Amino acid sequence: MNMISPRSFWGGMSQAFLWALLLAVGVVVIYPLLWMALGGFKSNSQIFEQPFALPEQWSFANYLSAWRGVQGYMFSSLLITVVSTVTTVFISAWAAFGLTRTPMPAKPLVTAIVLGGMMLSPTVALVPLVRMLQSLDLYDTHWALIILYTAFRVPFTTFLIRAYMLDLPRDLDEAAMMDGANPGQIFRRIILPLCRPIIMSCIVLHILFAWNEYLFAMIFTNNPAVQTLPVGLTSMMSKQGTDFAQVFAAMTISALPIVIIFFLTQRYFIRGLTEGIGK
Amino acid sequence: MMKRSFQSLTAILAATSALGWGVASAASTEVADPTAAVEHQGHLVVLTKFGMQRLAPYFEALAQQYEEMHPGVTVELIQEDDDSIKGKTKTLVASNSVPDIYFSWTGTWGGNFIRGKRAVDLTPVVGPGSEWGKTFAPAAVDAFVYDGKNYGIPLYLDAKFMGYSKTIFADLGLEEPEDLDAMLNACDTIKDAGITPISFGNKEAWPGIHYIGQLLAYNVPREVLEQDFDPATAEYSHPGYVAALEQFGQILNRCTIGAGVNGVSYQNAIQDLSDGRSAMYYQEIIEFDNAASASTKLSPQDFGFFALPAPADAAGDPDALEGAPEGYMISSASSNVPLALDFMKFVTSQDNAKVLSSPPYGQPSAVVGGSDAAQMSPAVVEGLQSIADASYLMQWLDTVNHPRVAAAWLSNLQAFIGGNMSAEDVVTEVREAAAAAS
Repeated sequence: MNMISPRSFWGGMSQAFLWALLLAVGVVVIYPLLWMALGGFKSNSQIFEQPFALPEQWSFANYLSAWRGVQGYMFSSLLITVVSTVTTVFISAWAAFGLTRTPMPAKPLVTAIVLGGMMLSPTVALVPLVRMLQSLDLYDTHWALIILYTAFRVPFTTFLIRAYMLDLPRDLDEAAMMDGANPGQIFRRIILPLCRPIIMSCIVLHILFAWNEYLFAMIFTNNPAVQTLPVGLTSMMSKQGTDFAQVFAAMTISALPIVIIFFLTQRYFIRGLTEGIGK
Repeated sequence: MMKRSFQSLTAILAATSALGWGVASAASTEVADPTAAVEHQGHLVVLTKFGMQRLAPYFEALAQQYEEMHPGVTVELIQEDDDSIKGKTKTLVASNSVPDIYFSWTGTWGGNFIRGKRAVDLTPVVGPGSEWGKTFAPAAVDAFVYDGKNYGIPLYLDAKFMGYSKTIFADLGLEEPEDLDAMLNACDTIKDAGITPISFGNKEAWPGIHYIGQLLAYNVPREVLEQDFDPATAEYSHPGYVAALEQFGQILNRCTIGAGVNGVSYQNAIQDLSDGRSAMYYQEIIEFDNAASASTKLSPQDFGFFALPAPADAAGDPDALEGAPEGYMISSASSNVPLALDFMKFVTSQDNAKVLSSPPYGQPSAVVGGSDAAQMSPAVVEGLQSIADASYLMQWLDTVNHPRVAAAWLSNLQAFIGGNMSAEDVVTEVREAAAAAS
């Protein structure tokens, strides 16, 4: 007769608990998304009457009409997200390189000024920003949001990339310099490729921010051709009646690109953040 | 040296501030001139509350038509929804970028524009005896009167009614109740049949305020109410306040699910009526077409409504109705006020008013004759008539009061519904909020 040793019993139990915990976390994270996607197949009545039941029919009618309603906003969101991601990450990487790997007078002060931008609340800056963008003829344009998203995210992104760059050995710069590389070449050919994990993390974080940002998008744009998805989604809801099935369908459509991007880049995302966490 | 620089800077700032205040206090409200010639040239910016995808085409079509009629004019629309209009308006006002024409609620929201001298005095063009003024329902025009002057152009009317299922009423042998007791008795009958008499969701706090607003109009004389709306003269000593709250308590206990309504959204409540799970739902006229439509179990033919019945011994006005128009003001900073007024006259023409009142917009126009019974649901047509027949339009409690008083009503009423506060305590809290706001 085989005896189960206490060690293997408790080991098995802890494994089982771990799996149960991970499964529970997975359900907590995935179920709301699934519920939202399924809601797009229901009628308003079924959403209220049987919120947790499966749809009575699997018709894509809500998804089609939701797509017609949000496709213009989707284009604006894509444009603003892509351009502001490129500008933010590029400026931040350059800034982080300057702050970590070049001689600079009063470097701690400059670092404090750049990173101090994280403390600025977007809400209190709204009124002067409206005046400024109006005087520059940028109000109600895609550029308004691209510039604002870049300006408000550069400090945080610089903070992340700087922490990662501080970990890279100085010998690399010196070796490259001895081979005749100038600072620009060292940045482009040595440091930037080594920073790929944190750059990917910053890209994902910025995409998440720009895709979901509502306050600036609501205040600085008026024209539906310029407005982004979060503003478009709220325009589908009304106190006097909302087709929730269509709203859920539109929310699913708008969340889909983010979910796909996250799954494709999650390996880099986690690596980038954990490696930069030491500083 | 540094100290002197600091003193100089302080002096400059003080002088600038004094000059700024001086200019502000010396500024006077612009008065519209009905005889001013309209020059159809220039650019108009219009801030609307029609940003919802269902409503947005209304102003878009009007702007396009107006531009085609007057090729020298361009109309830029800023279309916001129920929530975003608040943030957008505040930012535009704070940055001195108020659009030529902008949306306003009645009550304190509109009053803030008047206090800040942001609105043109429209008395000569829309006030009593004016040609344009006569084209609107008088109660709608009056709702935008501040300090005896007209500041708003009403676009559509809204009022609160008890919507009900004719089928459920007929099956149980019930008729539209004549007074509050009759409605409470009807609730008992409906409840005995296993149906929720009134679906009520007060998670958002304002639905409860709407019941109280109507009951106050029934229980407190109009002059007392209007005196109490102003924190400077408010007393809140009339016994009608407590009576109204006690009547509301009876409705809550006999017609609804009770204290649990604080956890139910108003959207759930209206859906319950639409799906036939409840017999009644207290709603705005602009919700009629949503509560009963081709896609709901409750058909438009099955849908009926009546004003919330008044108690038999009401001390106030039993013919008053709770509701308010929503409309537009003209910016005092507008460089072309006559053109802005001309555009609004076009918007409020009878033909355009009929389009507004009909589906898919379904916003009952404030223009006399601005509805086409053939195009509208019968309930909306009847509701409009009830509004026209009302002796007094009692504005929403949360917009007519000072924000601090409105907040006191909202929070304490939720506590009253939850059973944590007595009617007397609610009135005391509101009285104290009014005293603090004065």
